[in-house]
Amino acid sequence: MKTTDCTDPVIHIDPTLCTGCRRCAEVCPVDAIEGLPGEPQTVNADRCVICGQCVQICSVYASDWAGSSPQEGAARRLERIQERDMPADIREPLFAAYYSYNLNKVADMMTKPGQFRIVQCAPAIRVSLAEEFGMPFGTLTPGKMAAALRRLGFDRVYDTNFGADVTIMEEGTELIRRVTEGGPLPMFTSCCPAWVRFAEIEYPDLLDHLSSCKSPMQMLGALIKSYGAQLDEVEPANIYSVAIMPCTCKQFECDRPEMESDGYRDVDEVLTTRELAYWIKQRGIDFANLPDEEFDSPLGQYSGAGSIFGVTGGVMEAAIRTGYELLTNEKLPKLQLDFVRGEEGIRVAEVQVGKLQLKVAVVAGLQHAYQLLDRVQAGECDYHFIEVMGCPAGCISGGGQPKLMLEKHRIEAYRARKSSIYGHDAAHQVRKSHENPHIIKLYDEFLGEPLGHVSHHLLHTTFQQRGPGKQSRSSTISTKGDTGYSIH
Amino acid sequence: MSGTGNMMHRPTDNRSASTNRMGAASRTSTVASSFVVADAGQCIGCKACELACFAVHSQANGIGASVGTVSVPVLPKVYVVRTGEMYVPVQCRHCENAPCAHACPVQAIRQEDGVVMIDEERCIGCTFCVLACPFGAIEVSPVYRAGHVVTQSGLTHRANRVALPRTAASKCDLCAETENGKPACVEACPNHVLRLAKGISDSPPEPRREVFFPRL
Ligand code: SF4
Ligand code: SF4
Ligand code: SF4
Ligand code: SF4
Repeated sequence: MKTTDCTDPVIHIDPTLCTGCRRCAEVCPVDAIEGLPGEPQTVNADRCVICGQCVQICSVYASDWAGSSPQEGAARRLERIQERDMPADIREPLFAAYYSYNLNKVADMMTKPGQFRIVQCAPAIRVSLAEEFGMPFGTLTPGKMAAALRRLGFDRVYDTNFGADVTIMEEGTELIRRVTEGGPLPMFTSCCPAWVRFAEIEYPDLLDHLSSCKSPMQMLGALIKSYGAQLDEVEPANIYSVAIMPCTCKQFECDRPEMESDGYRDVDEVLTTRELAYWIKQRGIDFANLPDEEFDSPLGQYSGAGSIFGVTGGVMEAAIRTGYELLTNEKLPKLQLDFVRGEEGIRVAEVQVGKLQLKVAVVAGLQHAYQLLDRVQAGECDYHFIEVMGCPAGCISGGGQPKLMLEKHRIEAYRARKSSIYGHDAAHQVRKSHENPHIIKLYDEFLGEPLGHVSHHLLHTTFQQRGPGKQSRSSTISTKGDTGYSIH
Repeated sequence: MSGTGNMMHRPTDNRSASTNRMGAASRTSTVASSFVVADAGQCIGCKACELACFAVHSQANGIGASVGTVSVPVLPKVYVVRTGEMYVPVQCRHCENAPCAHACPVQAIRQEDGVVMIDEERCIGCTFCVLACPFGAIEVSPVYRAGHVVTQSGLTHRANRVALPRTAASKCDLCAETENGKPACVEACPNHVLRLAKGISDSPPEPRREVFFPRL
């Protein structure tokens, strides 16, 4: 059995800075932070699911004035920047906990001639990127983001939201098939790489409960180098495909050996929201005054359902919008599904879909998953579909999102980002994945049908055991704020 | 620019009190002052207080809520120090009859409503207050404005002839001019180590003899 798979850990703690306050250990859902209070901590890479929440909370920074002279302080800072492979001209403070940076690598690759450079952006970036430029929490900037990415040299600016729409088509169909053909149930979402890694480490015996769908990022990556390459008449080998993600675990996901089709990596490199902001600043782009530009077609055209993937409950809501209509052939009476929109760690609901009483659950924050998974293991969980997101408010609270200086701003920022995402959905003409004309076209022209041969080849994946099974928590851990809702 | 920059926006007539030459007794008052106290044994050394302090005092440098908006060194007004196995946050006690004010040769320090304030504009960076403070609560550091270091005209580095930064004293001002007036460190501390001790001044303390500090 393989236990060590993270030979290049993504999450680091600088022992020369860490004061051992262990606030990171408090937010770590899998007890991966080890060390005595008051001593520098270490990250157990075998257990870490790379959610980056520790990086978000760490407030111990390197003081520029701690050295004996300002010159010494500046030299030490530069050393740390090089150690971390951060852009040299970065001005923000350096914290004890940090993640591996890819910006220097990507910026180098962008200068390589003969490449067709494509970028995709996750739903949660457009509601948080502006915060890095001092704008209010949750400012919605899809247009400026697309404009900035063009100025950074990308030939095509696509959108992970399109990938989310494809995910709904595939995952929704998979759910219907599992429900009608006998399981295994409950089916879990597989969009969140931290959650997938968590299941692989802590509950390997339940892996066949995960949907076989790749995440929206990987799906879009695979489509960019196949369908997209055909449309643009470029060789897949010449495509350099970058993804901008709110998540520290996405690079790990894109490096997984399974994540390739026909010998091409689905996604070549991942940058976080913060890294995109560094890049924009480094290139002197005046973000606030950029014009709004469109995403490229067709792989950048999304429905409202695609855009809500960024918040907890979003995948569930998007799936129900489509699943309901595909199963019943009737219009969903109400598009806004408030029962999945809460903030609790676990939310459960029952939805009447035709003759089927669909039981669903939404989990936000992996510490809440243990209890539920223990019940699945014991065969006591009769839900059909469970969404799990590793981070406390879904991707809008991901480890790669803007880091806030005041703890009291965190909840405020999450709420603003969330309502901005829902506002974005509400403003869309098309709010269901299966009604997105570009999705319809994709299936007509290229994929055939959901779960078909081409889909299977490009869009689905397998999972692997990465640990001995549950080691961190007892099943009695309390999950505060569990609530049950029911709609009929 | 550090937090005393808040004082930039004060009406000028507030300054007149410190322009007179009547000595420190007129600038420090006997109003019992408030100050932030720490339950040192409980401090875990997370520096959330330092970061919060810096964040709320740095608006003049265009610093927003996100770390990405920070373009100047983090210069807080509370300092978490390690003593053996323990961490303890250190900041100004807002002394009645403040020694720092007595030491200041240019009357840049005065007491207003029980808060000992340093007027950064007036401060000449001489560090006398630093020496006088019994708590080590004052730092003299470069002044930043609009994200750039302010240079001192006439003060150049000998070898390369670049202008050197202007420095000024900086210390806790009890967040006197932030929005809700609540000390940011108290709010930010995850362990409830910090608390605002309120001075109650219904019976004014005995007038004190002015301590004599040599002046320049
Ligand atoms: S990494 Fe940061 S949050 Fe964690 S113990 Fe060290 S200083 Fe504290
Ligand atoms: S990245 Fe997440 S799982 Fe890993 S140590 Fe940090 S908080 Fe724990
Ligand atoms: S700076 Fe020092 S001397 Fe001055 S009031 Fe504060 S604690 Fe007292
Ligand atoms: S925030 Fe509180 S616990 Fe953290 S260093 Fe400051 S006083 Fe100590």
